[in-house]
Amino acid sequence: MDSVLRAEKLIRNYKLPNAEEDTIKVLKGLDFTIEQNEFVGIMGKSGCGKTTLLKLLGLIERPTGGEMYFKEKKVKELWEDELADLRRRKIGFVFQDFYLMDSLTVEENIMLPMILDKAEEEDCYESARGYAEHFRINALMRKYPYELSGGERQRVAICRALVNKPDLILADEPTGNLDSQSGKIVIDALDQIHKEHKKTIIMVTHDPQIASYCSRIILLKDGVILDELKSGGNRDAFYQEILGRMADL
Amino acid sequence: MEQNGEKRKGKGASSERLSRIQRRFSVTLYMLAFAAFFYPWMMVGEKKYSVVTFALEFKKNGIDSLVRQAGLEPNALYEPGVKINLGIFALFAVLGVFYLVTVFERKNWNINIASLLAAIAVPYAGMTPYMMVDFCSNYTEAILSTSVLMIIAAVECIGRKVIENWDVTSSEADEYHERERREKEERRRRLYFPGRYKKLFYRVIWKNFRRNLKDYTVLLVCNALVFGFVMTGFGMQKLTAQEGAGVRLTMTNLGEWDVSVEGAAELPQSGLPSGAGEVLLKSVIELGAVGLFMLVLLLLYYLRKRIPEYGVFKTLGIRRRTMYFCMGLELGIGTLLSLVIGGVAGTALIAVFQKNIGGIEGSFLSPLLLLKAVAVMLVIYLVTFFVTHDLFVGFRMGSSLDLQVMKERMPRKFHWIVVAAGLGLCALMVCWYGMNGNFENIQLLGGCLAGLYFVLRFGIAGYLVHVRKKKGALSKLLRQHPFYHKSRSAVWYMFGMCVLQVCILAVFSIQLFSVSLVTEDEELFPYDLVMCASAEEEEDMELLQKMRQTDGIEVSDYPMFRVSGTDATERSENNEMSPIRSQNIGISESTFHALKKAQDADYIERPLGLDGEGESIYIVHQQNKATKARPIDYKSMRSTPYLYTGPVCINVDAYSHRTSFSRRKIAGEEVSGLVGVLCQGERENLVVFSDAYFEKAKDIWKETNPFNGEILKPEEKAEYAELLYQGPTRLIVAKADGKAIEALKPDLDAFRERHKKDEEYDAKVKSYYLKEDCVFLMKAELNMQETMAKLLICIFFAAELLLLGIKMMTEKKMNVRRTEFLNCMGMRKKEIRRLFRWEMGVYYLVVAACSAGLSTALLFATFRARLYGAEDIKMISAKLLPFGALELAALGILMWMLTECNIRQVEKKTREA
Repeated sequence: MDSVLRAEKLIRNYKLPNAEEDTIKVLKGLDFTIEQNEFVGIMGKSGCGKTTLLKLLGLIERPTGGEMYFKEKKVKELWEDELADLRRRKIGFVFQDFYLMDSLTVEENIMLPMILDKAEEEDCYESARGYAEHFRINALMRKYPYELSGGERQRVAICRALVNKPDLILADEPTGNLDSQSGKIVIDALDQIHKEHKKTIIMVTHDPQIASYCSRIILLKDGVILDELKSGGNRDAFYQEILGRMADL
Repeated sequence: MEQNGEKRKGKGASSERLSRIQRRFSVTLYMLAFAAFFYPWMMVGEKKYSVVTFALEFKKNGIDSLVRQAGLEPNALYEPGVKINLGIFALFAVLGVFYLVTVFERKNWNINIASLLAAIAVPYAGMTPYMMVDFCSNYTEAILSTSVLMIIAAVECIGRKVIENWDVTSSEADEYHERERREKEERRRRLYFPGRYKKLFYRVIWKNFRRNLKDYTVLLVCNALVFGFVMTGFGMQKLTAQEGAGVRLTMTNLGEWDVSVEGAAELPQSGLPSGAGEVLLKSVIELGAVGLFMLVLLLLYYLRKRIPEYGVFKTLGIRRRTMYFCMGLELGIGTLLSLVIGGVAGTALIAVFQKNIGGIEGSFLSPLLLLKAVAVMLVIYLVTFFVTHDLFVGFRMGSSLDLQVMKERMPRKFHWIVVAAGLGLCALMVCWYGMNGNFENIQLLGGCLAGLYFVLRFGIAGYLVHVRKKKGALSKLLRQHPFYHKSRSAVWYMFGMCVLQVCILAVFSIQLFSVSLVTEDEELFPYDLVMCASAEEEEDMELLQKMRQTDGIEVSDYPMFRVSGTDATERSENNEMSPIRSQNIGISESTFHALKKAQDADYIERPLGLDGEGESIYIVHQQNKATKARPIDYKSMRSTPYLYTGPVCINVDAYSHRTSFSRRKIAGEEVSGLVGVLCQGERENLVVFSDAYFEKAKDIWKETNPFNGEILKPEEKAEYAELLYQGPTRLIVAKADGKAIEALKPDLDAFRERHKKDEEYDAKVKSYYLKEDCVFLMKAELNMQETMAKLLICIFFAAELLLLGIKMMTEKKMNVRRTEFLNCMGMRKKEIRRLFRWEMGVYYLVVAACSAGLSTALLFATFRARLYGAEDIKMISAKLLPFGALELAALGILMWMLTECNIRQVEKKTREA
């Protein structure tokens, strides 16, 4: 099977204002591969580098060291605009605080990646309507994000992530700001995307219940991979296994 | 093998061809250089010389003939100078000939490098004193001509190398172009993104922009205001530069002048406009500074809001060029609009000034003026961009990190030591600010504010650390948290407000209210005509006699001589500029008393404490009380001005070796118009010497070198006899009616013509002054000062409110979180509101206390520097105190209103969240 993402000795350092040390080493040489149609979870304590890793995987930031391959293309050798093209066409993003634009309607927010890709207007509307119907938010199309509940906003974000039919969905704690009921709706939606649309999903989460939906979990601790867990198919057993390993994080 | 042989043959033929071109190139250029030796570029007196003819003349008639022709002062150094200079030319010629021989002989000895070095030495020698260029009246052309040899030799050197490497260079260039073409092709292939953005894209961009329209408008208005100020500055300059029948206030009156200085070695003079022009220039600079401050603040706030929005686009994969295009369009349209609005505002402002100041008429709008104003605005934008960029990057405002949750570092050690040092710095600067010799220097004010910053930064940190260690600290935790958590930001906001407050309370307020201290014209200008005549000039004395005999003129005359200082401006001159030496009127103690008596019949003589050696002097600063402190010598710094008796010696400065004069001690000084406020204290002040010294000093000029001020040696006296000049020796003052003055005009014109030499050095120093002109200029200055002070107070106050508004808007998100948290913790709405009010109350109290304290100290220092008497202080304090109290009250009320407004907005946002 072809890999979507591959990391070799991936390193990411930051310079922080007011920091005692000059640089903070967030990721300290990670090696892993994400295959097509995988649903991978990334877990770890706060500050262990989960979000940083997701930014690297989403081609928003570049690694400080090591190599990363997106569909076997060396990310280091890609130009800024090529990365932008990949983000627009091949990757969909779902963030914890939704990252929707309050100045645009729900419909416009969903269409945004297509609009930026110079797609035909009819196609934009058609795709947006299709996904909105699928995720049952078609009644909210004329509303603005600040008029919606957290769960509704996250479903809008999921529609936006899917609208350009990307190969990879990156979700950064998508249920983090939601109540359990809305969280359930969102994770079911992601699960559905994975199973029905055959998309590769990488999700950062703290919640073992949500993580149990994944087929594989990468456990991060202090910027290194502590362990990898694979689901045997039974979600409850996997949940128990995750719970058991969480004590080590 | 055959092929290789042909290649080698081809290569050999090509190298032979290149070598032939090289030879021809070198010969042509060196022939040109030799021809230059015969080109007559030197204008010596009326005659033109080439290097060759100059050398022949030198050989035939010697250096004296050339010195005479050039009208130079004889000097023994000219002969060796010319010899060295001609020697360098000869060296170049010899090296050139030798080089050409080696070229023909096909030797590669690089002699051309040696001849290039000789050619470089030619213009350097030219610029050295006593060498050939000194003889030329066409100085610029001469310097350019001497550079021709250097240029030819350099072109030959470089050109030869280029020809030598021609094959390699052209193949490298081909390779480079090929590489570039391939890269372009690859770029096109990899970044292929056909089609056009659809309507939806522009709708999305517009809607996103429209949401920030309010902030954008504020930024635009601020931009427009700054451009308006720039336009006003240029417009006023243009108006006052117009010479015409209806225009009485010209830029020449305002102090911009052309000066012809005797002595070719003198550098251009450094001067500033005076009077209304000076007020305008300084005000425009102050407005520009606060405009820049406001622009940076607003732009930072705007970017902090807009960058995250563009961040969404970036994450979703917008092309970089498209994003920059959108951002550029947004800022570009704003800039264009602000230029239009600012232009209109500037025009309106000028109309206001024209009406308020009077004496300025005519049209000022022209394409050149607009171009100049736009160019200055672009420079301001550039500075704004760099400052904003540095702040944005420095404070990581564009970072995805939530900086608002991060604690700012607080100074941990030496709190009270730094506070004491800051207070010490403030006290020292205030003390210096109060010295007349420091002319209310803005840098001292800056030093004082720097001291205040240290007091605030370390004082607040020290207090918070101290309180945390004490019992009951927990009960104050919530109140002190904003200052503890964001100590650096809090201090910067407080400091920014303090700076603006101090400017309003201590600088602009005194500019505004000191105008009321200006007394009647009769006190400031007791005479209608003041003349600096010469007792030795027969025609001057005849004119004096004629005036005495004319009805309607009451004339008196007193002995005087020029007293010159080393620097008459507050500008720090660089190496390119020469300071303007000040010129004042030296009188004896008995003349001083006579003048006093003439002004006030009840005047009682009192000794001035002057000595017979001229070490102690008494100064009458002839200026009104609204004018800032103006020392008699700007290089003197403290109380020992460096003044010498006689006309200006252009080579004398504060560091010169002095023999015939020394530093003087100020035994006493006053501000008044004893003879008249002729130059507002910048020039023509009265310097009083003891009678005994006055008698001695009036002849010192006879013994003094007119250039360097040193005592002439006996053998030098004959040499300088013709150049010695005494300057005016008779101070004539007259009270006359308008008719009499009008009748005297032809005589006065002739008088001015006779005293042309006295006016040559400095356009501000005239041979005679008419009261009517002086009063007009003073009134224009006072009107300008009052108008600009009012405008500056309003703008600085608005900037203060803007700073507060930005603080509140920037911290809104953090305050919403804080309110949410406190709500969850079960705190009541009233208590939360009280917390916010307490925080802003602390801001107000700190700012009000610091600015009131510092402003009071600075105001008293200003009174001291301006030599205000008790009566003046009482009068101005009666205006300053209510103004200060009202201003602080207005600030308090507006801060309270802003706080209440902010509390409601935070509560609304918290409810929405």
